[in-house]
Amino acid sequence: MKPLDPRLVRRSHGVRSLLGAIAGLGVLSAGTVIAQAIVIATLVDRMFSARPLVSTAWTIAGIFAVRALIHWAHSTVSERAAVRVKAELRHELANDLLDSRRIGAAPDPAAVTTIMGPGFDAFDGYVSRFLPQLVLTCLVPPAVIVTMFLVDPVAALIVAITLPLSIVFMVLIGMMTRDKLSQRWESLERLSLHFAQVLDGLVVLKLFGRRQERSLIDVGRRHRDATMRSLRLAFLSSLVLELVATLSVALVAVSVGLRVVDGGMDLLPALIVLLLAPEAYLPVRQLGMMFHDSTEGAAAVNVALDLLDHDRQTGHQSAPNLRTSDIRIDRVSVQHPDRSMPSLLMSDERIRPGEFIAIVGPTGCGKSTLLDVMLSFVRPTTGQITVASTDLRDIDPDQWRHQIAWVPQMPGLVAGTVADNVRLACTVASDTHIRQALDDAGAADLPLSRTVAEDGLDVSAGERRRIAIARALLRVRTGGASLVLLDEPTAGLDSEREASVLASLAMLDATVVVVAHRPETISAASRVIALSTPVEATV
Amino acid sequence: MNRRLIAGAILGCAAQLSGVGLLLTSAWLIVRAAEHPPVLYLMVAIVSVRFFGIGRAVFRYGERLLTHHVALSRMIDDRVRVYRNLERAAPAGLPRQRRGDIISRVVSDVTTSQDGLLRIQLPWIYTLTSCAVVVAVLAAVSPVAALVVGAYSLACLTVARLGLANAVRVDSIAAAEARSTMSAQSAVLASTSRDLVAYGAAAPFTHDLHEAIDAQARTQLRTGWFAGLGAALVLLSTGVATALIAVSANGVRPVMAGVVLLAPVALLEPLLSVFEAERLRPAVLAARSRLDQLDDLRRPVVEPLVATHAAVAGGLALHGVVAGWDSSLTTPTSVTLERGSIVGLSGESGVGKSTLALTLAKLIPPRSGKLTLGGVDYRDLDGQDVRARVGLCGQDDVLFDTTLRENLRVAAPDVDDDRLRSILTRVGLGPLLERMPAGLETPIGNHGSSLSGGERQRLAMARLLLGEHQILIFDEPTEHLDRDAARQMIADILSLRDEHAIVLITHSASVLAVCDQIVHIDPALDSDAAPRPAPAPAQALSLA
Repeated sequence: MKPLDPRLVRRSHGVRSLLGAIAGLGVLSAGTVIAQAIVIATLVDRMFSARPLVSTAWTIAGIFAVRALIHWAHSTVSERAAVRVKAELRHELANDLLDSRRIGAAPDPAAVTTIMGPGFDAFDGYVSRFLPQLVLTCLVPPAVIVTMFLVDPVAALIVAITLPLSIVFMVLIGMMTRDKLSQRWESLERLSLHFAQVLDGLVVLKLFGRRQERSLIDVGRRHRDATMRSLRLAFLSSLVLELVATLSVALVAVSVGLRVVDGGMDLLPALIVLLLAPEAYLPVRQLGMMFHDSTEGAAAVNVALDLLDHDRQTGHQSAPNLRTSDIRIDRVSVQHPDRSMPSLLMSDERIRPGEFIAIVGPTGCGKSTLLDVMLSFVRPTTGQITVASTDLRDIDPDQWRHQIAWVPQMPGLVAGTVADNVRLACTVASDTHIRQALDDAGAADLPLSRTVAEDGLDVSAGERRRIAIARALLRVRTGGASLVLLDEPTAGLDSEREASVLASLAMLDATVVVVAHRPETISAASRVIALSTPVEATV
Repeated sequence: MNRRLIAGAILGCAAQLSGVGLLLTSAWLIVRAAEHPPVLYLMVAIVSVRFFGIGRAVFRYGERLLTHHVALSRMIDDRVRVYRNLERAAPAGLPRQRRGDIISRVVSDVTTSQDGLLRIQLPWIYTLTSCAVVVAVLAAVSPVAALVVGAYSLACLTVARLGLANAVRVDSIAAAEARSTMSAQSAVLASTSRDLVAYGAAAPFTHDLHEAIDAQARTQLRTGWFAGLGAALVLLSTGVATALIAVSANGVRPVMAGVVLLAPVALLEPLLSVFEAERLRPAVLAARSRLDQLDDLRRPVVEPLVATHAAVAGGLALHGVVAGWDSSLTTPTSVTLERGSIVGLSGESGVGKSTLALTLAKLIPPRSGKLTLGGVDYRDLDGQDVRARVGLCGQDDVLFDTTLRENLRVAAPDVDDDRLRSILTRVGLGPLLERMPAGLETPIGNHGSSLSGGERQRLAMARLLLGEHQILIFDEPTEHLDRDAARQMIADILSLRDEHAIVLITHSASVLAVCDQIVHIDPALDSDAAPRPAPAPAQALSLA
C-alpha cells in the first residue's frame, strides 16, 4: 500500500489544499515543540540553581497555549478537508450510479451502500489524521535534529542515526510480515464469511436441525490461533520502533548525564537535548499507530475508485426511428471475462417493426443478456446490432432508450406510491392513464395511492412485476416508446391475469420482444426466436 | 476474571509507567549529575533509565499479544450469542430489513464491540494507574506539586469522560442519521439504477442523494472543530500545571527540580490516549447496544418444557388452522397428510401460503386451530423433532457459498459420496455433475450463483431428500423453470409419493392438476382469528 495514493491527490482539489495548509501549520508546530523544550529546560535549570523563575514559568504556559492553538487549528483544518474530500468523491459516485453510459453489470448495491455509508468512515481517519501526520513526520523530526545538533552534536548524531534506522527496520519487518498480514486479512475474511453464511442460512440450518454453535466456536478458535501466530510477527515492527525510540532516548540521557558529571557539559543544554530527543521519534511513532487508519482508509479509496472505473458508451448519433427501421442482430456474442463459456451466442436475426417475438431457450442460454445488449447496457463481444445501418454502439444511449419500454425479471421500485412507480415511464401521464395501464397489466386490485416502501420491500414479486408491466404499457401509450422488451413478465401471475397481460401487449402499437418459458406466453407471440446454450468450441 | 486479561493489563500499566519513568528518571539523572557526584552514585539511575527504555517497548509487545487474545476469544462468544438469538427468532421474528444489511451490520458490530476493551477500557486503566503513581511519587517529594498534578490529571480525565463525550455523541448521532439516509438512498438507487436509466428518470433521484451528501457534510463541518479540542485542552493545562508547580513548589530539593517540573509533561501522552479512546466510545456503545437488542428479538415459537416424542407412524393433520404472522391471515384450513397423499395448496399471491408452510414446519405458531403430528399436538412437540419429519423446500432457499458436497451435507453430515451422487442424479443433476471436472468438490458460488435457476432448485430438492423427512413441502417448485424443466420437476416430485406425504404450494394450474386433493386458501379478515398468542414486545432492531 502506498501511504498517499497519487490518484487521490490528482483527483481531489481538497486533498491538495489540505496538504498545503498542514505543511504551514507543521512548521509552526515544529517551532513550538523546540521552544517548549528550551523553556522547560531553562525552568528546571533555574529551579536547580535557585534563580528567579516566575517569568519563565508564565512563558512556558504561553508556549503551551500557542501549541494548543496550533494543534486545534491543525485538527480542524484536517477534519474539514476530510469532509470536503469525502463529499467530492460521494457526489462523483452518486452521479456515476445512474450514469446512462455505463457498460456492464449494474453497480453492486452492497459495495455502493458500504462506500456511501459506513465504509467511508475509514476515509475520515485517513484524510483527517493519517495524511496530516505524514506531513508532520516529514517536518518535525528534521527540525528537532537540527536544533539538537546546534546544542549537542553527539546526542544529535545518536538520534540522526537511530531514527532512519528504526524506520528502515520497521519497513523491513513490515515487508517480511506482509504475507503474514495478508494471510490474517484473508483468514478474517473467511471467518466473517463463515459467520455471515451461518446467519444468512439460519432458516435452512434450522429446517435441517443443524445447530452451529460448535462450528462457530471451532472456526473462531482456529482463526484466533492463526491470528495470534501472525500478530506475534506483525507487532514486531512496532516493537522495533518503540525499542529504538525509547532506547535511544535512554542512550542520550545516559550519555549527556555522564558528560554533565565530569563537567564536560552544562545542565541547560543537557536538559534541552533530553527533552528534544523523544520529540524526534514521536511523530514517527504516532504515524505507526495510525497505520491502521491508513490501511482501512486506503482500502475505502480503492473501492471508491474501482466503482468509478468502468467502460462507458461513447455513441452520440441520434437514434433511428424504431417504428420504421428493422433491428438487425448480426452474429452477436457476449463473453464475460470471468466465465469460460460465452453468455450469449446468436446467428443472424432481424426484428421488424410491429412484430411480437418470443425468445425461448434453455436456462443459461443468454435470453436476458440479449435484452441487455438491446438496451445498450452490455456491449457485444463480437458481432453487432444495427438499426437502419447504424451500429448500436454509435447511437446515443439515452436517445435510444427513449423509444424502449422494459420489464426486467426483478423490476426496481422506488419509494412513493404505486402511481409514482408507474409514472416513471412518462412523467406527464394523468392518473387516468396510469389507472388504465395498471388495469391492463392485471393489477386492477392495486390502488394508485398505495405506498411502496424503499426498494419495494412491502410489495410481492407478482405485484412488482405487474407494476413494471403497467410502467411499460404507459411508456408506449403516452410516452411514445415503440419497442417493448420483457423478461418473463408473467412468471408468478395466475392464468387469468396472464391472459389479460398478453392481450394488452398484443394490442400495443409497438414491437414486442418477450423472454418467455410459459406456453401461454409463447403461443401469444407472432414469431419465436429460439436460442441455444453456447458451446465453448464455437468461440 | 481471565488470567490473560489481568496479565495483559499489568503489562500495559508497566509499559506506560516505563514511558513516564524514562523521562522522569532521566531528568533526575541529569540534574543529579549537575551536582557532580561520583559516577557510582548515578549507577542505579543509569540502569533504571536503560530498563525503562527497553521496558516500554517489550511490555507493550506482551500486552498487545495478551489482550488481543482475550478480545479474539470474546468475539467468539459474541458470535455464538448472536447466532443463538437470531436462530431462535428466525425466520418470522427477524427484523424486516434487507437480510444482507443485518448480516453485515452484525458481523461488523461483533468486531467493533471488542474495540471497547482494547481501545477504551484498557487505555483508561493504564492512564489512571500512571496518574496515580506519579501523584504518589510527587507526594513524597513535594506535596504542592502532587496537588497540582493531581488536579491537572483529574481535570483532563473529567473533561475527556464527560464534557467531550457529550459533544462527540451529538456529533455522531447527527452524522449517523445523515449517513444512514445516504446509504439507504444509494442502495435503493443501486438496485433500481437499471430501471431508472432505462426510463431516463434518473435526474430527480440523484438530486435527493446529492442533497443528503451535502447535508451530511454540513453536519460534520459544524462539529469538525470539536475534533482537536480535547488534545488542545490537555496541552493548555499541561502548560498551566507546569507554570503553577514552578511558582508554587518552594523548598523542593534542587535535585528533584527535574522530576517535579517534568511530571505534567510526562503525563501528556497517557492523558492524550484517553481522549483518543473517548473518540471511539459512541461507535462501540452503539454496536454493543445493537447486539444487546438481539437478546430481545421476539421468539415466534415457544418450545414445550417437556417434549413428547410423536409416534413414528401417523401423518400430519391440520384442524382449522389459521396461519398468519404480521399481517395477512388465512381462513381456517383443515386437512390430513398421510404417506402417499399429494395435497395442493393454492390461493391468490400474498394470501399467506408460504406462512402456512412455515407454520407446518413449526417455525411460526398457528394463530388459531391445531396441528398434530402422529396424533400429538404441535405445542407438545419440540420444533427440532417436527422438522426432522417435516421438510420444507422454500422459494428462495439459501445455498451456501461452498462446494456441492458441503451444501448437501447440511442435510446429512455423515452421508457418503455414492449416496450424494445418486441423489444428485435422482433430481436430474447427473449431467451437471458429469460436466464439472471437480465433481462434488465444485464450488457453487454465493447463493449458488454459478448454477442456473433450475439447477439451484434441483440442488435444494436434493438436499431436502437427504433429510429423510416423512412429509415434504414444496413452495412454488416450478417457479423460474421453463416448461420442460417444470414438467420434469413435477414428475420427479410425483415419484416421491410412495415414501412421503407431499404438499405442493403453487398457483400453477398444471401443478395443481397432479394433486389428489386441493386446498384453496383465502384471506381472512383480522377478526376471524384469535389474537396473536403472547403479544410480542415490539422490538424494532435499529440498524442506524
